Amino acid sequence: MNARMGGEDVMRKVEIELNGVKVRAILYEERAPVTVAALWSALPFEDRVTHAKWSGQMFHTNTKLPINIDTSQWGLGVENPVGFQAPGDIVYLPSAREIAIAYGDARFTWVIGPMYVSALGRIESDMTEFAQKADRLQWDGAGRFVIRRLTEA
Amino acid sequence: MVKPIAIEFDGHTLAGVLFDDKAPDICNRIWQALPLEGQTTNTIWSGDMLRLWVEISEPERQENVAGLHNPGDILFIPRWNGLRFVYGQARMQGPSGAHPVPLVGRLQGDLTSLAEFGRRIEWDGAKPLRVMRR
Repeated sequence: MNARMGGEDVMRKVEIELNGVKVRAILYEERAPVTVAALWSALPFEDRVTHAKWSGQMFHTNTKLPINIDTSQWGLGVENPVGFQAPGDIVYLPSAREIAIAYGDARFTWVIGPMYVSALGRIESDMTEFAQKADRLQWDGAGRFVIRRLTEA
Repeated sequence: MVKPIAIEFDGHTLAGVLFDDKAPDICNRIWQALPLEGQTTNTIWSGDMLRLWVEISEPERQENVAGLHNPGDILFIPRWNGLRFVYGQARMQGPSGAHPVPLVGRLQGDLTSLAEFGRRIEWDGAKPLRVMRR
């Protein structure tokens, strides 16, 4: 079910910016309605992101998102849980209140091993340049990240 | 023959040894290549582990293979080259999971400065590190 605006179904879309490169993404309102709504209300969100050290070609936010949701309602502690990610996938870990984005081969992992995370959306525009910026994070250090609304719900 | 080494980074020096009794061929290749200097990044699959991007000649076989690692461990991964330095919780991994690799040496003493170096690289980017004979 998409958000309604002006009588038409309008999918919630966001713009993600990494070190000046922008891509567009859709959010999974139907599959993760609670978490997506909470994220939506927290936008725009800006942070310094760093490259993953356990998860492969992925980067993550470092400041806790201003999202408070009751995760006890979901058996695995996350809404719309996934154990694997594809390039462009946007995932969320409620316990850390962090967003992670895969730009290549990746699997959300921490010291205890792979973890379930909430699949919140995916990048739908060409992400070639975005992936190059993401890959540079391991060489250049933390980068500027912004996620902002593209549509109004 | 003991092969004592040291690493230098960000104004710090740590002593270590190569396990030439357990991994003689690989350690000799490393020893012959010293001093080595290159850029250091964090690994992207393996946790608190630094990768020093330098060229070391390829060994003919694996030696002293270890599946679990401790802070201070020095690792060499055939076909992926360079050296790895463990500074915290880490396990050599890739997209297909964990894979045992040759344990070729160990850094000695207080590793606090190395751990801080690893954390700073995460935020500030790659930094140089030098390995030399001691």
